[in-house]
Amino acid sequence: MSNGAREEVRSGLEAHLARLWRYALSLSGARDVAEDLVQATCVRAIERADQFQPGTRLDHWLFAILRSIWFNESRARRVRAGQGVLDAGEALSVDGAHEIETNISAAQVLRAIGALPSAQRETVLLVYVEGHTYREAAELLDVPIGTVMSRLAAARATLTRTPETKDA
Amino acid sequence: MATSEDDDRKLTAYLDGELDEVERAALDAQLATDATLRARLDALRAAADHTRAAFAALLETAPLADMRTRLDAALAALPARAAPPWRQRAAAIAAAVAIVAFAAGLSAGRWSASPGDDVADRDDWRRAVVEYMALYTPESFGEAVSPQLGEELASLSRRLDAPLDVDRLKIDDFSPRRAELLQYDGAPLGQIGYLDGATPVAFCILRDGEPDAALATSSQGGFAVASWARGGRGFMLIGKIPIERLTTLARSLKEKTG
Repeated sequence: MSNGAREEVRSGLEAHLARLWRYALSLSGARDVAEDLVQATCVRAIERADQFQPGTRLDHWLFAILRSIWFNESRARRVRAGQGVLDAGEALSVDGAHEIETNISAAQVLRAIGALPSAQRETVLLVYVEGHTYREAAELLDVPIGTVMSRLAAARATLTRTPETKDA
Repeated sequence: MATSEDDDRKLTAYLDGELDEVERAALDAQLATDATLRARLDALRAAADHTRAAFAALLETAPLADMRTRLDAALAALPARAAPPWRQRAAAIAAAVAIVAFAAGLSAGRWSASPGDDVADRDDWRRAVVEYMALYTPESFGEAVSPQLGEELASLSRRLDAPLDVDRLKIDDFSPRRAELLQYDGAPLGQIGYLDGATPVAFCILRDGEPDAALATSSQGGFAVASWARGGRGFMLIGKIPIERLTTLARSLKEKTG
């Protein structure tokens, strides 16, 4: 059983790299940090492959690991060091605008998303981009379902005020 | 103005398919007669559609090749079965190193501080090295010299823009066993592992633009440490060996890698 789990984790990791990176980028707001975070997630997942239950969603399990590394280890150290919490928005928007030159509209939307409060941004990514249900997002984020709904409504409301997202 | 935050929440849950049947029917009835509410629904719907499209575009910029390479390296370090314990420890240490370097990079304020130009920055990475050196055992640098040592050193040379090869790094029977590339605060950090007798010793080089500094030795956390800087690179030799021995080795390395 544990061998099956191990194999599933090992063979499945690669398929999820890009999405893990996108999640890491929206949490950290910096491309190199996002890459390191994905790598740390892979190493952790391989080490803990025995804890993965075959047949459940590998991507959700990986997202939870990535989130835990970011919040429990990386961010905790930074906050303890007295640096406060960094606003990822600026870096997300700049990186997005830089990389997606051919897609001005996407870059502008990313800039608007980057300016959202980080909790809203993360919830938007999980539900609208990754397809989590409210319940799945609530579990991962460890907040009530009502909070998920409020964050999404507030984010949608803010984004309707962005020129690029205004017209239907 | 005609719609409220409460409306937004309800409309959002409606769009996301998260309303129960009763709530949904009630809202459908309301939408049928309220044009303002319908317009709001359309606006909120467009916001999420644009969000999905933008994130899809972002996905295409993911550094897949880099991440695959690093994943392959992590997998290679952990064979599926019969992984020797030292290999597992090495991987765990590598993860710890990545996290320490990563967190230290964040705490150094990469987005605000000017790069590597003050004393605090210069010492931060050395402190991080001292921290993770405490995790090393003699097995950390392998039971044997890495078969890819030549390639590892060539890769470090390129990334650090410094001449590094076995000849330059070998001092009598003190010779490199493995070399790896880490990073600190976005700058490449090369680490060359030695065993002095059975004691792990690491030679670290960070290409961070720090100003030249003469060789200085100190004792930190039970380790003997030698530090210097030259040509925009910071150097450090660290191990739990007598400080005189470490100083001698550091002087030779400084001369040969200059």
